[in-house]
Amino acid sequence: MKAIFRLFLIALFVTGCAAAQQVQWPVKLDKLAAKASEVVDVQLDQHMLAMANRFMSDDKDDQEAKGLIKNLHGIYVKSFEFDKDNEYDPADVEEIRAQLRSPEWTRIVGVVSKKDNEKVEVYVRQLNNQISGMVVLAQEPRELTFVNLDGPISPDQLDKLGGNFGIPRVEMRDKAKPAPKAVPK
Amino acid sequence: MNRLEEELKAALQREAPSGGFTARVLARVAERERQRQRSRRWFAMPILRWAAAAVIIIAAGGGFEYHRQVQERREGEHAKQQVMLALRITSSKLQEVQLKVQQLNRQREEREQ
Repeated sequence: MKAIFRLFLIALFVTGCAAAQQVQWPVKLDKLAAKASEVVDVQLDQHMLAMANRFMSDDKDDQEAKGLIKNLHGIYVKSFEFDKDNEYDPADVEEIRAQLRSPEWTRIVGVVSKKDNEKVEVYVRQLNNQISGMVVLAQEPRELTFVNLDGPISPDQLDKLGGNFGIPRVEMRDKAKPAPKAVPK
Repeated sequence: MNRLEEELKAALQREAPSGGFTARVLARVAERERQRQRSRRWFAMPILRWAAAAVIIIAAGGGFEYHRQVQERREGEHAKQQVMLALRITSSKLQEVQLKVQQLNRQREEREQ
């Protein structure tokens, strides 16, 4: 009886830890689908990622994707595009942001444009000095995007993600235009 | 008795079968039974029975496996498309961030100059 109780406690703890690590999409935001003109909803768990991995071709993008997803536990994307401005309440998005305030999450980039009324943030989860998850939260007047890559991602893969999959790479200015070499007098 | 009754009586009158009728019927029954046994004998051979069972099992298994593979391929291709879509969205958002950071840096540099 004691053993069963102990097992139950362990299961409860493990489930609790898993739930704590996972950033949940607030259910109330699902109602946005009715207002949106375009909806993208991707929910891929580890099993589905493994299945997708088996069907990747030798194409460069496919190989990049294969390398990225092989260690991931899940990919979750919600993206809504609207025909009119302010179809969603920015306060609703706070529920996601609140989950990302836990100690394991770090905001690595946050860009706020008051002029364009835009806010894009990139968060990474760090465990043992390794990135073990990434969330991109992009709020625009007519668009709301939430990306959650759950699982280990190497900095190299993160860098590759920034200019891949049919999206042309934008080099940072310092990299694109190297400083002119000093001309010896 | 009218004519109709006479005709009915004549039609329903008991008639003795022609000679050898019983023998012919019995012979035909026996022949049919022989045919049935002949066809049954083929199937009664254990090897044929097992072969038939094996063919049915292999065909059913093959059909099931083919269906499973088609289903798996369909799901895999769909999952792959979903992965690529998700990564494309992620990539475009990261690009946006990069561009905005770049813009802000440029503006700051211009202000400083």
